Amino acid sequence: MNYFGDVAALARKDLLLELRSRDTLPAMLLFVVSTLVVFHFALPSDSSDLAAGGLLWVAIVFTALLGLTRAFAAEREQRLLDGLTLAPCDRSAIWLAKVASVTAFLLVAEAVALPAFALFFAPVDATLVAAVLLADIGIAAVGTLLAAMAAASRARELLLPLLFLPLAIPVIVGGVGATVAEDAARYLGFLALYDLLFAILSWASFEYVVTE
Amino acid sequence: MTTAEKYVTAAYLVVLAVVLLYVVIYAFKLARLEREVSRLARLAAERRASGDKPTVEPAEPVRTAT
Amino acid sequence: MWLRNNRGVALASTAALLLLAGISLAFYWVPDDADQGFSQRIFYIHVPVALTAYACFGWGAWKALRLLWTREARYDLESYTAVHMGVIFGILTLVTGSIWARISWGVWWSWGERQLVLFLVLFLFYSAYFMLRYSTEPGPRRERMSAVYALFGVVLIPVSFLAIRLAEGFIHPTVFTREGPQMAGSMFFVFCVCLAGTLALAGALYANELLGKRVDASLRDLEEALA
Repeated sequence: MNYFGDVAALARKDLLLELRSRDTLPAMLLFVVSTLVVFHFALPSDSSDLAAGGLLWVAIVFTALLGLTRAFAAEREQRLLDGLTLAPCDRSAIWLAKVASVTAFLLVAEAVALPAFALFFAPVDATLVAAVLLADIGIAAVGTLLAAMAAASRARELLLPLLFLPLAIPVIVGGVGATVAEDAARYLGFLALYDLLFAILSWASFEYVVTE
Repeated sequence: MTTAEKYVTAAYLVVLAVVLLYVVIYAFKLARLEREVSRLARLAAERRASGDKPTVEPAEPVRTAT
Repeated sequence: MWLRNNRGVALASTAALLLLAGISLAFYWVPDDADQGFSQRIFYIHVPVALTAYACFGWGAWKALRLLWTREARYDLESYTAVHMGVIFGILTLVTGSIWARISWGVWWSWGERQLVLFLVLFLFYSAYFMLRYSTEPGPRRERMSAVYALFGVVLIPVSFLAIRLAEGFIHPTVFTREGPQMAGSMFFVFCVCLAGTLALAGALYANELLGKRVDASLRDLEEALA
């Protein structure tokens, strides 16, 4: 099997597992909608749509965090990761497959979150959708690597947000900029740059994180 | 002393204070290391007294005078 | 040979000499800045400390790269120690920067000050580095994970800097601008002396801390062998 065949097989395994057990996705959907409702009560009634736009990004990052803490749960509980790293496929294929499944979960969550945001707060335009798509790639790329690290530690769920949030600050800046600023193109470009840099770095370093 | 002078002096003193704090923390660490070394030394001495061969090889080969 | 065995001593004496000279020059010799007057003298400690922190993070990432490259375990302690020093100097940058903000603008914290915000982000990032190390079993895997994380740090520095600049576009317009290096010759000279001094100080602390961590590790090995 070639590289992308491995990736597709591994990603399909993740999606099938989720379809059967329904561990993660319903939680993410419920979480993102609850967060938006909480934000309605957190915002004073005379605050602008701009503030709501910023909070949407907080909701997206925290929902992603929720999905990422579960990303390696199945592997960890059944000690699958050791087996996977022994399989005759490139270790980075495991990363790429996991990024694909995490991105898929995020996309589903946002397919609910964006209409809900438009309903509750402010209209959603094409720029915002583009920013969300770009941000998903960066979040999934960095988050998957860090989730693999956190899964190997004792603190696990506790550790991931600490590792992830400082790295997510540029994503928030790019996303919020694209949502509220005049010249959104700069911020979209910045998000693309972030994706490129950290995707390459995570792809190259995943092997070092998972091997014993 | 003007306010600016006070603040500038304070900034330099903060650096000094943090370096000194580091020295204090290091002193604690050194004390802990010393305790552990003496404990291990005592353990090794007990081993030798009870006739066992020491399980730890000396780190450096003993030099013989030529 | 003596220098090699007593690197810490040599660095510490160099640091003491240079810092003493640099601070005396900064207080008594350099003329007042045309714009900011006396308070500009905080520059001679704040900026060298900040640059030293970057140097430490860079050094830690370099050692991390060497670890991934050669898989020699000794680079792990070296990388860890360098990051440790970087965090100490990062905290110093935050504190001195906060004092400078207080002198210049009368507030202890200003989100308009890029360098300061960047150091806050880095401080959070590298604090998580310690959490990662403390909550993972020692071994080759921890060494490699820490190395990967340290490498992420040096990529995050420019990316965050860019992000903070971009964020000013929508969070608030840049109100405060601090002039770039338009320094007189004498100012630049004192700055260089202070920079060399803080770098030597970081080197001395690094050498000391590394020795301590090595002794700690060997003691643990010894304990295992004796048990």
